[in-house]
Amino acid sequence: MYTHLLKQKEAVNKWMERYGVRFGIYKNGTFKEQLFPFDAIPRVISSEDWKELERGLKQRVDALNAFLRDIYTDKRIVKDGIVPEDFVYSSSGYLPQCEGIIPSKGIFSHISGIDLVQSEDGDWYVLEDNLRIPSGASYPMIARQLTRKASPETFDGARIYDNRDYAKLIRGMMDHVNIDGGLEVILTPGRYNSAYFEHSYLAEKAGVVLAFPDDLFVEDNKVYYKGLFNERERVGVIYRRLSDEYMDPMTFEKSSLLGVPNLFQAYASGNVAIVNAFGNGVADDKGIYYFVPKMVRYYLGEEPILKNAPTYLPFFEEDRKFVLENLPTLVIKDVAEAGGYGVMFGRDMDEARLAEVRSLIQKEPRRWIAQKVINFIDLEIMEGDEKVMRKADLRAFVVSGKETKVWPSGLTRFTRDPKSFVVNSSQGGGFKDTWVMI
Amino acid sequence: MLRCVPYPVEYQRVLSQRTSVIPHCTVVRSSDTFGNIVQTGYVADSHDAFMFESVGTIDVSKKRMPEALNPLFKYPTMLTNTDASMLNAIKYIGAPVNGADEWVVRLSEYLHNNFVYESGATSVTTTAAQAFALGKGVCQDYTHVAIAMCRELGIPARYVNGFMIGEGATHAWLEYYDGAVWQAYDPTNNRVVDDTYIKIAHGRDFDDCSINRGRFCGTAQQEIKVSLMVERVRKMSQ
Amino acid sequence: MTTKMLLSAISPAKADRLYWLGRYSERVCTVLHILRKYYDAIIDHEYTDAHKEFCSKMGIPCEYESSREFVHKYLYDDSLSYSVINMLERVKDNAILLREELKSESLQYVELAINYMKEAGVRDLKLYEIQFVTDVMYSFWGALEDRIYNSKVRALIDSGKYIEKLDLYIRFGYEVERIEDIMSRLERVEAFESDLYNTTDFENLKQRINVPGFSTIETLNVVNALFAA
Repeated sequence: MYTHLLKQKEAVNKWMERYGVRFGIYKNGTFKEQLFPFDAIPRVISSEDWKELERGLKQRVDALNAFLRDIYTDKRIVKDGIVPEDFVYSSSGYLPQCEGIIPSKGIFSHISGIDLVQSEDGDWYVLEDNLRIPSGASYPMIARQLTRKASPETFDGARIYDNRDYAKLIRGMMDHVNIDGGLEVILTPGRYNSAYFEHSYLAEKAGVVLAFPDDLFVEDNKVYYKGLFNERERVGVIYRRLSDEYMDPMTFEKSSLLGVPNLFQAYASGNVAIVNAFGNGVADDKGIYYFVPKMVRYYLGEEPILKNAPTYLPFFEEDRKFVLENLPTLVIKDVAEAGGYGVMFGRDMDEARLAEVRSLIQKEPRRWIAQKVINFIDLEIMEGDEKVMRKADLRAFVVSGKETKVWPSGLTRFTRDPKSFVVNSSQGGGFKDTWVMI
Repeated sequence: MLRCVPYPVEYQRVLSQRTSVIPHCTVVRSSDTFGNIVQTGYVADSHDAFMFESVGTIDVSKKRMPEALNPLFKYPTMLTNTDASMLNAIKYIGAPVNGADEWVVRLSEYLHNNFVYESGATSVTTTAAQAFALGKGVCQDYTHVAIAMCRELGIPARYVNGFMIGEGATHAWLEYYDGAVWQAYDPTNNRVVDDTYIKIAHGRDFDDCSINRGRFCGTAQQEIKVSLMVERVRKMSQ
Repeated sequence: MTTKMLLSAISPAKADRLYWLGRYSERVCTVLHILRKYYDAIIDHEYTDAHKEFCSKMGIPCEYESSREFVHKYLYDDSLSYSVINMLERVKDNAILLREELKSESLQYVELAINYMKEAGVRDLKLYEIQFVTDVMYSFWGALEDRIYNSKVRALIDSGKYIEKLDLYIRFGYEVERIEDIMSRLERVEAFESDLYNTTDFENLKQRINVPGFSTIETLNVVNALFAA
């Protein structure tokens, strides 16, 4: 179904270069932009598979939103003994400043990026929830635009969901949470950010203003966009691409030169919507991940559709014992790290390293999680003119506005290194388009 | 962002208070997550100095009411982690036998004997463990060390800043939870906090309580001047 | 002066970027054009010091053995802040921050020009072999004209464009009529009567260019102070 597209792969790459489809990385302290390697073979998800996945994703994100609301208000889930208090208060993503704040329309995670893999028997497993600033949706969007340009034959009559409506989804959500019909902006830290391409591309496609921190200011607990002659325009919603700690030097990291002073007070007063809300880190913490299936049962009274990778928390004595005994068969993750960092495979460790990791776990059990390695399916990629099999995951995007909608596509990332299990763009992998069949 | 109005609590009755800022701007009053009163503003025009003044009278009593505990104050922060030598000190002080009150007095006594008041040795970013290793510091460091040790033993503790009667600068002390009431103790002066103290703000540590925080655009040689005066107007009969 | 709220929702930083986008884009086109004229002069007159005159008019250092060496470095050397490749990089620096206004379809021409110039530098293409860069930059101008639907955004880019043209035309001693034409185009720019433009200096400039020998640093200073975001 994509033979013609493969023949056109040079043409597609030319277009990618022309459109500057890049992501930035810091190498030895200097910022470089690299083309994001694109593999023309798409990941194809059948309509049937997708329906199931869609249901599971909606369910999971609805539960996570319920959890966030609960944590920052009543904490019923803690009082009922489902989630231990420790996992909330010692999570670096928990922000006490958010206590009691219900964001506009009650939505905390507006854009959720759920990382999944498919096992050999066809089941989908969630590896990670990203509820802060999940990035990557712009790449399949532009890939579709450019592959359709380079190989219209491939798409002629094919029943592939057109994923270029992502910006519309985002825009609809922003309109929904917007306060007082204010200006809608995407707040970027600037071009020296790994996802700058995405910030600017989404602003263009969603038809909203791309704002830099200095373009905004807060007065009387309201946020304004600064015009040329000291005139101002009230801002109603900020889709921020800046993490919580850099958003407001008055409330968070005081040395930050990036943020907008007093933005948090404006948000707490209900005068501006922030996408995603402050404090979401408490729900996508690698430690909290363990509890997500329990959240689905607790808040929705439903059985979870999507599976978690079998996870052990050394925080619990029984799990700790299991982890220490079975370390060589497990993968160990540091809950505080992201982007594929802090991930260690037991099978790659020698005796000395195993002992070292065991003592790390005993010293700070709350800091680590251990997971069984899932044998997930490999996908075909083109290496030169040859097809080879490589590890790949899928980041699905769920947009919560008036309703919770799953974007019928996603970012499929693969590793180019045949030995690697870590699929992450900051670790030198590439991406594929994801075709959801109608 | 300013925190310069006394903490709104039943034992502190503010009779009058006003804040003025120069250059003039819209100042809005709200509260932060800990209930501290914050005042925020934005000056668009260029200026070479920013001044604020907070003046008022307050009626302080000693009586403190029971409160529900926010579990947050049980957990360490970046500024209030303990290290091995602090754990040793805790061993030396010994376990609480008669509840939190008695232990905090012993802790304060220990710091009084083993920690030296010296300004300039530490900064606003010094952690409890760093200050403890130095063996000296200012009220902020005394308080961080005391908080870290309390939390280590499961006694919820929080950082308070405010004023003491007299002239000088702002002061810091701790509040610990005795199971019902947040009690206050001043480890720097090794004494219990009474009605000669005015509480402005509390939080997990120093960073939650800054009297003033701000940011300006442009380049400038920065200089900060602070003056503070607390006088007794009238002693209330009790 | 009248303060007109013409440009709401364009921040000062953004206005500045639009202006410099206009200036650098124009600089690439006009400089290549003028350079071609100098190149042409060499053919007829063996005028080997042509590059020295060019450098002196542009106000850039001139430490080259030959015109040939100069042209190569001036076009391709990314360690020289004033080289054409760096002008293009500055176009990109500004353009990339303005994607939502300019649109990706316009931005692609800047990418194309830069990629082409890099390749040309490696292959040491001669000036007459890189007409493609000029073609692509005119495509970029056309795309901007076509795709930007906020007239205030276009006005700010045009301001940069015309002020750059004035600067270069004055440096290279163009006829007064040509300069006057550019000035009248600048006058017709949408935001011209706002506080952004120094209209007093604009009148001053009109007088200056009618005095022989106007091509001086002082005149250039007036030009460069016409706009302030």
